[in-house]
This record gives sequence, C-alpha cells and structure tokens, in this order.
Amino acid sequence: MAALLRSARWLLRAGAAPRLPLSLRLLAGGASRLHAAPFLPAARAGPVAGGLLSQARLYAIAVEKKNYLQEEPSSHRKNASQFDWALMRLDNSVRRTGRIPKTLLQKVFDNTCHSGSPGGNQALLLLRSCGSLLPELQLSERTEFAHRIWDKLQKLGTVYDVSHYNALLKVYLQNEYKFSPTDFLAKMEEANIQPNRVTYQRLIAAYCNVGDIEGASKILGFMKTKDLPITEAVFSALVTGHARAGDIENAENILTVMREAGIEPGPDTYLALLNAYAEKGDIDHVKQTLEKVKKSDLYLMDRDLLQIIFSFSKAGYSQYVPEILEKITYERRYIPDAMNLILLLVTEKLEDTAFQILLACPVSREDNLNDFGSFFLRHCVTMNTPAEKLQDYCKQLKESQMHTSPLQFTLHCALQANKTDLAKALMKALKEEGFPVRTHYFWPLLAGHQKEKNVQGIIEVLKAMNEVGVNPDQETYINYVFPSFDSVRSVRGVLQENGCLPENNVFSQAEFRSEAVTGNLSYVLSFLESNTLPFSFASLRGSLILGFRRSMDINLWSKITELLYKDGRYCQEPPGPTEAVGYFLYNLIDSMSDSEVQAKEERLRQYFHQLKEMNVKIPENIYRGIRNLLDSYHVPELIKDVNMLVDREKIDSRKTTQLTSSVLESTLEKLKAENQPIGDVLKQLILVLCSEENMQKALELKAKYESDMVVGGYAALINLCCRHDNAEDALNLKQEFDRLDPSAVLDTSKYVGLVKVLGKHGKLQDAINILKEMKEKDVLIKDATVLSFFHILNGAALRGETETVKQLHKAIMTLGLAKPSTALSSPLVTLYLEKDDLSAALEVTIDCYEKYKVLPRIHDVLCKLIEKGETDLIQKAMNFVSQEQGEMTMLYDLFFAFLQTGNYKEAKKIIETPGIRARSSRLQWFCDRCISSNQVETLEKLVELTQKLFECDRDQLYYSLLKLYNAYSIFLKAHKQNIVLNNETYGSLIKLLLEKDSFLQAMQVKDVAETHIKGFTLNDAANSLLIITQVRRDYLKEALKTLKTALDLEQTPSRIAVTRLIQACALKGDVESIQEIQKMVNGLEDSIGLSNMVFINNIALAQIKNNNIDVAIENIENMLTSGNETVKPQYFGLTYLFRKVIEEQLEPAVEKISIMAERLANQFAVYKPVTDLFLQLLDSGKVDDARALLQASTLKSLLELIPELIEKEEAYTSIMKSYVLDKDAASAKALYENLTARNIKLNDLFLKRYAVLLKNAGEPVPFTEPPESFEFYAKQLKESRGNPL
Amino acid sequence: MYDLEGTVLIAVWRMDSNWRRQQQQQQDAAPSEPCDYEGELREHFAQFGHIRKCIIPFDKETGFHRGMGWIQFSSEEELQNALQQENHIIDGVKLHIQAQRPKILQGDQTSDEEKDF
Repeated sequence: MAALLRSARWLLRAGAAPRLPLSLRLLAGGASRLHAAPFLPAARAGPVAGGLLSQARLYAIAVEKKNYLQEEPSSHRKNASQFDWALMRLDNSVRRTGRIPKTLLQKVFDNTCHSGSPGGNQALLLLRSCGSLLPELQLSERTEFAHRIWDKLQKLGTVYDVSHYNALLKVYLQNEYKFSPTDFLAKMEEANIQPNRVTYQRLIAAYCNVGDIEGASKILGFMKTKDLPITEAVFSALVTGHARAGDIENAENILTVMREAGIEPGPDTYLALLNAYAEKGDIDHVKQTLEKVKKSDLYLMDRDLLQIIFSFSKAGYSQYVPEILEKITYERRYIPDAMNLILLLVTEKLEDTAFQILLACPVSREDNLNDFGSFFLRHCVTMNTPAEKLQDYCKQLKESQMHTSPLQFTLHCALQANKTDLAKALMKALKEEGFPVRTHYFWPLLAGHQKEKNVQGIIEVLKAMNEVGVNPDQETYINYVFPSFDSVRSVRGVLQENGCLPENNVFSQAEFRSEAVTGNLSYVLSFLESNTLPFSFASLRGSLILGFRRSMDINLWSKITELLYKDGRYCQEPPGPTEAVGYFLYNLIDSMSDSEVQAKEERLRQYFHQLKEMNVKIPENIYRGIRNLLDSYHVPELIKDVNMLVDREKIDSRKTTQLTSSVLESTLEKLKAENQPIGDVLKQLILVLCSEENMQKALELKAKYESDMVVGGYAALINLCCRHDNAEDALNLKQEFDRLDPSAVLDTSKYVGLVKVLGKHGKLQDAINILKEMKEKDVLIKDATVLSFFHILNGAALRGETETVKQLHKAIMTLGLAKPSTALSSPLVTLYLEKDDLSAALEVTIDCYEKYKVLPRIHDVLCKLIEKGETDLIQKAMNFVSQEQGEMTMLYDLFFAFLQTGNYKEAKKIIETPGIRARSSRLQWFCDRCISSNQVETLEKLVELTQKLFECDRDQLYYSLLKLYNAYSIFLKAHKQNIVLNNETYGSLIKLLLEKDSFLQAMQVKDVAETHIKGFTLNDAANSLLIITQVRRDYLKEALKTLKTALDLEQTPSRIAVTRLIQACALKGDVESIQEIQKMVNGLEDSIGLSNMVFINNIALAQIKNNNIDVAIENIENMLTSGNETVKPQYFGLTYLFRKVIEEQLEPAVEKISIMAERLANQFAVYKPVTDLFLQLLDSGKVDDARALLQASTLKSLLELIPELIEKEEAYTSIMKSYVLDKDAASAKALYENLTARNIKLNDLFLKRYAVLLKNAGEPVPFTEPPESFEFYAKQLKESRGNPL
Repeated sequence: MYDLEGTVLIAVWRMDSNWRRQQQQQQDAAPSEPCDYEGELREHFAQFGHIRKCIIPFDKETGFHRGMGWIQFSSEEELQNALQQENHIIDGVKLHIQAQRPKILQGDQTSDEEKDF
C-alpha cells in the first residue's frame, strides 16, 4: 500500500507543481493551467464556477484515487512498483528532453505487458504518453500506437473506466485524429461507461477542431440537459471552433459570452484566440492580443508562445516566427518544451523554423562541454532532410559554437540509419572542411550489406569509398567484403569487373590473411609461390602463425617455411632468412599455449626434422629464446630437436660469444702457444660449450686449462653438470669455485640446482651445506625459489627418500630460507601416504601443526583413512582438528573427505549438522580442486548437498560446475569470436558431448565444424558414438548416413553401433535399411566382429513386424535346410529373434515360430532353434508354452544329440525346472548324475530344485539342501548372470 | 588486461549513443593491421609520452566502434600529462578521457535516449 500512496503523491506533486514542463502535467492527467488558479479572481469567477473549475482541474487526481480503490488488493504491490518504474522512466525522459522516444515508450509498454495484468493507472500513463509527447512520430503513427496499447491492454484484462476514454480522447485531440464523436459515445455506452463532463468537453473540442459548431452545439445541449457546468475549456474550444469555421468575429464574441456567463476568460481562452489569429496569419491581431493579455493580470507562458509559433508555421506563416521568438522570456524549463516543438516541426517538415528556434535557445556556448542540437540533427536525418540543408545547419551550429562536431555527429546518425547517400554527401563535406575521412566510416554501411550478403550493395559502398578517396584496408575486406561472398576466391573477379580492385597489394594481403587464418595452407603455399607483389614477411607473420596452428599438415608447414627461407622474394633482405625464419619459429611457439605445444610435440618434432633436412637454419640467440619457451612449457624434450637447426657457422660480428666452439678453441690454442692470457677466451669457450650442452668437452677443457679458469666459467660449468645430473663433478667444481673466490656468489637458480642434484645423489650433508651458504651469502629467495624447494622435497618424497626430505626440510626451516607453509611441509606427509602408513602420515601432519601451525595434506590423509575404514585414526584426526581449529573446520574437513571418497550419505549428514554455515573460501577450495582434477560427479554432489546450506553462494558453486562442463562453452566462445578449431578438436569435443549425451550441442558443433573445415570428419570412435546416439534418439536415417560416411572413410565402426542400428531398423520393420547395411559392411564383418546372425535375426524380425511372418519363417527354414548353409546349424542362434517376438507379444509369430522350431527338430534334426526358443520361453515366464514345446519336440533325446547343450547353465537349470514341473524325479536324477559325472559345478537353484523334487518324491537327498528360498537363489543366479566376469 | 592499470587511459567518444554496451571486446585472434584511425589516435597521444598499446574495439556486427578505446602509456607521469590537457580532439570530435580505474563500475545511469543534447 505504501508504494501506491507514494505513486499517488507523485502524481499529486507532479500535477500541482507549476514549474514542471507541460509534459508532466499532461502525464498527470491534463489538469492544465493549474498555475492560473492564483490569478483567477474569486469574485469574477463566482463561487459556484470557481468550485467547479477547481474540481475540473483536479478531476484527474480524483480519478487516479478511484483507480487505486478499484485495484485488486493482491496485485497492488507488483502493479505499484511497475507503475513507479514506468512513471520514473517516462518522467525522466520528458523532464530532460521534452519528449518520450518511441523506443522508450515501446519498452515501457512491453514491460507493462510482461508484468501480467497491468493496472488501470498504468494503462492511463501509457495512453497519455501517446500524444504530444511523441513529437518525433507522425500524428497518425501516434494514434496507431495509442490504439495498439488500448487493444493489447484490454486483451490482457485491464478494465477501462471513463478516465481511460477521456485520455484516449485527449490523445485524439493532440494528434488531430479524425473520428466520429457520436461513434465514440456509442462505444462508451457499449462498454457501459458513463461519459462525464470531461468527456463532453473533449468531444466539443473535437468538433471545434474541425470547425463543426453544429456538432459542438449538440454536445453542449447534452451537457445542459445533464446539468453539467460549462467551463472555460468549453469556451476556449468554441473560440477555436468558430475560428476554424471561418467566423473569427464570433470567435472573438465568445469572450463576451463567457463574461456574461460569469466566467472570466483565462489564458486558455486567449491562447485559443491567439492560435486562431496565427492560423490566419494575422500578426497584427496576435500582437494586439498579446499586449492586451500583458496588460491584464493574466500571464502567458513561453510554452504558449511556442504554440503560437507552431500555429503560424503550420499555416505557412513562418515569417512571423522571429517576432514571437522575441517575446519568449526563457523561463526555467523552457528547453524541454522547445525541444519538443523543434522535433515536432521537423516531423512536420518545417525544419527551417525548427532550426530558428534551436539557434535561439539560450544555451551556454563558452564551455564547449555540451553540444546542443544533436537531437535536432538526428531527427532531421530520420526525417530525410536533404543533405545540403543538413550541411548548412551543421555549419551554422558550429559557427554559433552550439555544437563542436555537428557534421561528424550527423554522419554518425546517417550511418546508424544506413543512409548511404546522405553519409556520402556528409563525408564529402567533412573532407572539404579539412577533416580526414576514415576507412571505418564506411563499415556500418558495409556491415548492413554484409548481413544480407548483398554483393551489389557492397560494390556500391566500395565505389563510394573510391569516390571519396578512401582505400579499403585489410579489415574492410576481411570483415565485411569477403563474408558477403560465398567464397573468398570469387571476390577478386567481381571487384575487377566492377572496377573496384585496388592497385596496391592490400587486397592480396587480405585474401592471403583470410585464407591463412582458416588454416588453408595449400592456398598459402601456392599464393607465396605465384605471388609477384612485394610483401614484407613481417606483414604475413601473424596470419601465417594462425594458419600453421590451424592446419595439421606438417609437410605444408615445412614447404612454406622452406619457401620463405630460400625464395628470393621474401626474406632475403637484411637481416636475412636465418633471422627472419628463426624469429618466425619463435613467434609460432610463443603463440601456442603449453598444452598446445605438448599436444603437438610429435608434429613439431617432425617439422623441425624436415626443416633440418631442408637445411633451414636459425640463429643461436633465437634458439635460446625457443629453448626457454619450451622449458617453460615443460616440453624440454623438443629442445634438442630445435637445437639441430642452430646455425653454427654463422658468426655474429656483434658479439664474440656468438663464436663457435671450434673457432674459439683454435684461438685459445693459438693464444696459449703465443703465451698470451687466455682467461677471456677460455670462459667464452666454456659458455659456448655449455650452451651446446657439451659437458664432456667442457669438463676436459676445464681440466686442461684449470689455472686459467675464472668464476663465470665455473658457474656455467656447475650449472651444466647439475642439468646433466652429474653430482660428483658439480660438487668438485663448486669446491674449486669456492677456492678460487670464497666470497663469490652463484645465482639463486644455480644453488637450487646444486641442492637438487646433491640431494638426489644422497650427498645430503653437501646439499645442506649449500643451503647454509645460501643463507650466509644472503642469496635472494624468490617465490620461484620456494617453489623449487617444494619440487626438490616432493621429488625426494615420491622416491621415498625419507632422510633427504626430513633433513632438507628441517634445514630450510631452521635456516629461515622459506616460511613454513602447507605446501613445503606436504612432502613430509607424502612420504608416508605413498607407503600407505596412515598412522605415521597423520602423526606427521599433526606434528607439522605443532611445529609450524600448518596441517599439510590433511584432506588426503582423511580420505585415505576413510577408504581404509580407520575409525580410530579418523577420530584422532577429528579431535585434533576440532580442538585446534574449531568444530566447523573439522566438519568441513570431514565433509570434503566423505565427498571425495564417494561417501555421499555421510557427507550429507555432516553438511546437515545443525548450525553449520557456508564457508565460501573452503567451498571454493574444494570446487577448484574438483575442477583441476576434473571430478564432475564430486562437484555435482557438492552442489546438490549444499542446497540447504545456510548462506551458501549457490551462484559460485554453479559457476564452478559450469567451468567443469566447459567444453561446450569454450566452443561457443571460440565460435563467437570466429576462431576456427581444428578437425581433431572439433572431433573430440563432439565425442565428449555425445558421451555426455548432449546430442544437440554435439550436432551444433558438428555443423560449425563442417562449415569451417572442408571435408570435416569424425574418427571411428566418434562416428560410432554418433550412430548410437542417433539410434537412441530415433534418427535412423541420419544414423544410416553416419554409418555410410564412416564406411566411406574406410573407418571401422564399432560392433555395438552397427548392431544397435540394425536392431532399431528391425523394430521399425525396415527390411531395406538392414539389407542396405548388410551390403555396406560386406567384407568388414570380421573386423567389426559382426555375426551374420545379426542380419538373419533382424531381417526376420523386420519381416515379422511387417506381417510377413511366413516369408521370415520360410527364409530361416531355407537357410537351415537347403544344405548350403552359411552358418552351421549349431551356431544358428535365433535367441534375439525369439526374445523380441515374445517381448513384443507378436502372438501369431510366436506360434508359427514354435511350429517351425518343432518341424526343424523333428524333421530335420536341427535342434538349436527349439532349444533357444525353449529357453526364451522359460526366461520370459511362459512355462506352459515351454512345456508344450518340450513335449511336442523330442527334447528328451535332445540332450544326447547335443551334448554340449547340457553344459550350459541356462539349459540344465531350465531343464531341471521342467522336470520339477513334471515331477519327473527319475529324469532329474539322470540329469544330475550326468552333470556330476561331467564335473560341472551346479548352481544352488538347480540343487535346491532337485532337492525339493527328491524330498517330495520321498527320496533321500545326496547333498546338503541349500538352505535359502527359491527366490533367493533365483535372484542370486540372475545377478551372477548380469555381471559376467 | 594490462599490467600497469594506472597508466591506461580510457578515451570516450561522446557521439556514440550506447554507453552501457561498452564492454571490453576481446581482440579478435586474427592479427590486424592498425587502422588509419588508430594511427591518428596514437599520433595524438604520443605527444604526452610513449604509447605501449592503443586499442579501439569495433563491433563487427554494426561496423561502429564501441565509443571507447584504451591507450596505454609507459608511465604514470605520461598518463598525467595526457589527463592535464583539457581538449583532445581527433578528427574534429572531442574525446573524453579518464584514467582506467582498477575496476570499471557500472556505466552511469543516464539512459541512451537522454544523451542527445
């Protein structure tokens, strides 16, 4: 209710405040001229009239109040806030700009509709907005809008009362809408709405607006009979009415009549008269009347003067506009009213008058901050104002310092409105003014044509660009021109035909780029081969790199690289091909992510080897850069492959370090022979050898010239030995290094390398000494150093080197080289977790807490404890955590551990502990953990279990979950950005989605892949999966197509995929498809593992489904009796067919099949079908049918004929069952003996049945009767069959 | 996106109507030549210092730029130089500039329709 009252106050305030612009008063219900009240002498108005008048002014408010009372109480709140919102938006717009833009009104309207059933006041607000507040719309459009709102809201259930009809009338008046007042009254009557005084007043105005005094009089008569008071509004309307009827004299007389009736003419009446004069172009009378009003105690507002201006202009007397403009006093709030009029004038094609008013607006021109007039320019563009006029306006706006960049703004509007000709003209104007015309000015025009693939439109814009002297850049071609064509190749010809192919090489470059980025390397190669234009390699590099990454064809990679390297056109200029291609390789690898490099390791290796064979070389410094990249990507294995490419002969004159080892070596020997100092050269040589990873040679050299070694040489050598895992030499060198200069300090990384290698080789004390030295010499410890410490410790822990881990960790801690942290202490726990010594692991964890206040790997320890069911230790751990870190932490630890180990029930219990609250950081930690280890299920469970958790940030959890499911979204993102993935990536994504049963998403990816990659293919596994999914979704045609595609690609689809498809076709009765498949896989049966029986079974089933039972049976009989059978009778398994026929309850078929089986057994001694059918009947509980079959057939002799049958568990169990049913103890006994003689292990169900049969027959049971019930053993048997080993 | 947050300048073109859509567009993966307009911007701002990056995202769908761009200077001082100059007019259009705040708050609350005057 409060909200309602608030909005009511809003309206009251709006209506009562005279300083608000006209618009708001209109919104508030058209209680116009409230401000005039104070000027209205009470004496002249008379008590009755005065009371009526004020009542008239406030009618709208009364109506609003009434509306509220009518509203349904339940919808109060929603409607009220919706109303507040709508009013705020509309009011804001009107207050600032004197109008409501159509889009805003539409938005408010749509929103109101969406809110359910809009209330009466909302309807009123919307209707009232459809009049003069829409100056940018043609009058007819406004009324249409009002009608649209009216009808739609009515449909939505809004109940209209008299205020709505009155509002509609007001809109009609403002929009000069021609309508029949009598029809309107009839409509109201039909709706059972009583017209009120305002209705009549407005109907009178409607008649008067068209000069129909007679009509007006008729309504006036109505009013009199109903005893309704005649107000000033009626008189004002009559003034207009007489004037429009051409009777200005009578119009003037109305004022006298009014006075006689006791109503003093107010501003409204005078305004009506003024407008009447203006419409006649009678400036003299206008001026006289204005004088008269001025002398009276009445007051006309600026807004009234604006209306007079409008009347003059619309009637074609714009020459008088300046005279009225002079009289404007520029009250506060003038600007919005003026804007409204300006826009209205533009809509009415009176833009020159509009511009006069605009120029006269009192806006600050000095500060240059606010450009004024944009609204005018934009509307002129919308209304198709001629370009010349617009240019002139722009010029004047600029000269008058109203607007800093009118031309640019107008151009912007023209581009937005897609007005090519205007845009062109404006660009020319800009150019004349000395502004540059930018390529991107044309993009919006091109974008429009590109969306429609309108080649002609594109050509026209290109021509226009040419005309204005703008050359399209690569972006223009790639983003807008090429996509408008079906293929990039066809563009060149079309442009040439139309004379818009530029002479420069921008177009070729764009062509090259757009092909390269799609990974079309064969185009790239042929382009580079045939190209005659001067291209800088640098300009191609970026596109080439993308192209390489999107193509898998290593041969093309190599060929292109070779061409660039060797061909005279590309890299021959300084710095030359070695440098250029080397830099290209560096950039190529730099542009790839570590995972990409890891995934393509083998391809890259091939590439480097091919380059080596092509004799492509790269400079050493670039090699080092690549080496660092590969190192940081954790693919050091590729380093040696790149190393082969290093150009060892080339000597960089700038740096002596670039000298090759052989040159340096001979220099060294020469110097030595000449007895000159060799220190520098020796050091260089050592460095070069180190960079060449030549440890042996470097060590020899050091031994040979030991006395000439310097600190730098030692440092490099130590590092080299560490890299090569040579602890012995590393340590010796370190000692020599110390002797040479005890104060010398190595780089941090070299110390770490030493610690690592010494620790690894059991030189624990030496490693600790190095750590001590690091402390003593105050070596800089970075985050990376601490991380290295962790890796050293963790590596040792995984190798189970207990002492190393403990001692090094202790040394690092006691020396204070690193702060205690969970990460650094975790290897201590890892030691025991790896050995499954959980008790020790827990102890170490607790010990760490006592020593360092960290609990390393507590989660992992708990998980293991839970897995092993170590309840005591769990209790111990929980007690400790609870005591040290609080109960909540303990509960979370336990919760996560249960989740992690899949004990969801226990996890649920924990998280539902009363009083537990969400700890976002802990939850986040677990989410991140799940994400990094790809545990979808665990995370899903977490999300599920925390549903009721107090204060839990569900969004965050779902976000985490999404991250895990992100494959598809990554694709979407890539697709949005037009990034083309490669065949493999698309393929694996599709497979992933199919595995997750996201069929539609998978198909979307496939579509995209197919558009981007010509000849896109899925691999065997993905295609098989696709077939299975398609079958499951009953897309059999598509599945068949997929199978064909796969087979065409010489793939081997999985047996299960083909079988499922065949089975699905059979159930549909689709014999042809099965036969088609049979033809397709002909010859592949063995590799697929497909038995011919699959076809036989399913073709028969399909035929049966088509009611061709006889055909099916005949076929099968033929196959079994014709003598040239493809499948031997004992392998002729029809189990599937039988099962399906029974399951699908195809009774006639079952019957005929039974007959067939009997006949085959009895006449042809083919027993397989009858046994199969027998077993199927038993399995499906059709015991009687089975027995009938048994009796009919000669199953008794069956066992002798097919001895292997008896060994089948299903068979002997079923047969025993049938003996039990027959109470045939003798046969059962024979069967039992037969089986025990064969040493067959009998199942409990069999034994139970036999035992019961014997007992019932009063015979002794030769074994212990299984104690449980039949059901128990039946179930047991079924389960054991369900889980074949 | 940048390591030196404080040295980034946001230039805003007022004529563009939609402020709220000005989300930072991911640069398209395809390498692009700097367009002529970008060159002009670089040239203008180069008077205040060394420009490390200049990005004007365009909306490929509409063909319009998004009404704002980023200029990254090498140092805070250069950025301050640029901020101190009152007017920045490129191709006749005045740019409004501000230093990149660590986090871009929601765009101001004025609606697009109200920006015309």
